[in-house]
Amino acid sequence: MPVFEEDPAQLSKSRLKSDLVAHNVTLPTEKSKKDVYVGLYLKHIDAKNAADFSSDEEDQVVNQGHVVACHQEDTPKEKPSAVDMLDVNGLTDDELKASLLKHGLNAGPIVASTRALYERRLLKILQSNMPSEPTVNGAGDANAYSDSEEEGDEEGKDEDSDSNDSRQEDILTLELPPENDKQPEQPKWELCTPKNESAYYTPNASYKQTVKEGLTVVPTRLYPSAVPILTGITATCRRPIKGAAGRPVLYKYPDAPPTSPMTLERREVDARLVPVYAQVLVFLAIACLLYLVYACMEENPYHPLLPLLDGLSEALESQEEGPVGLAHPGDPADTPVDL
Amino acid sequence: MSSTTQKHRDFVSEPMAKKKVTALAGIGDALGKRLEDKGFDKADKVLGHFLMLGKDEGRFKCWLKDTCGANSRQQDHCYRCLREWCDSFL
Repeated sequence: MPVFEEDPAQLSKSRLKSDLVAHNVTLPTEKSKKDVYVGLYLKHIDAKNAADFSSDEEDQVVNQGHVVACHQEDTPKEKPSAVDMLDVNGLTDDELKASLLKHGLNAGPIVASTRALYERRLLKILQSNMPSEPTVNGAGDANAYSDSEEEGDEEGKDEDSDSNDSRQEDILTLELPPENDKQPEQPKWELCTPKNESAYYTPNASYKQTVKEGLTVVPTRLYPSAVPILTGITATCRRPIKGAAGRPVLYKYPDAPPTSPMTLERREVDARLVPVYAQVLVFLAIACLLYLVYACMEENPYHPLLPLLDGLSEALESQEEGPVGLAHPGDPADTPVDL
Repeated sequence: MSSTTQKHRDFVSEPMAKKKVTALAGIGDALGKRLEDKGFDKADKVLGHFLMLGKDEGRFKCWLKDTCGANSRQQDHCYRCLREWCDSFL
């Protein structure tokens, strides 16, 4: 028998499981995270300790919790709040955070200790969204608190059976008035989850397994062969760290960072180098020309451009003689050079 | 004892105020982004979690690894940074 003062977060998962079974609480999906068990434990076990909750709000929640705990009552009626509570327990941390955000509550990190708090908050929000709040009549809410494993509650509730088939879908198809709003968000949430899981390099294998197996309820949608990740990265589950021991980046992963920013920058710089060479060549050509001009001005006798020099010298001679034949100093009589 | 990095010294030298989580030693852009996605968008939230874990080295490092995939060096830097900050300011 569990000690009521014991912190459920400190209990082991198997211990939580056994405690839940001892209290006739149907377990959630086998591979749920410990937090789910903790949440259930808090709900059901604490439901027996009504005195622990002092606030009125929490009394209401306790009433709900009482109903949740009473799995023996199988009522065919399914109230939407029942579905909510079921879903809240089954949400992963990320999904819980996303749903809180959707309802306008910017929640902080959801950890073992904060999870119960945020679950309660989400419940309150969901219940306040509902037009009819069967808070007092807890008996009607007993239905469908059961998780996917319990089939006894399916009396005349096809939706229940559908929802129980896949708890993940259940989370997203809450039977609330604004149901249509939730539908388009389904793919977003489902994409968010694999994105979070696959983008993170989580070396903790058990954690990954629980997430994977928790999501296998809807395998086709969540884990297609090529997951359409929002970020565009199609990473495999366990990609070794680049540059780690024995795994130099260049040889092992020629395609690995195809679009990393550094390589893109380098390619841009490389692309600019081509015109730079052209600029250098042009510069050299101009430098040569300038040098030639300089040499001409020096009137170097053994410069190859003799015609120019001759022309210049003839100009000088013609100037010495007089301004007679200035226009074209090339008098054949004066110039013995063959042109 | 290994020498401290500049980031460590910067963080430990003053109250963390509203510093982002990337100001922590050992937490760079990638890890910082992952922590922010989990809800730890400021360094003081990580501090809060650190204190909740009882400032325990093993638990904090384990949590850091699970949350953002930090390797042992990064875990160590972050842990020592926070511990020293706590020693100075708490």
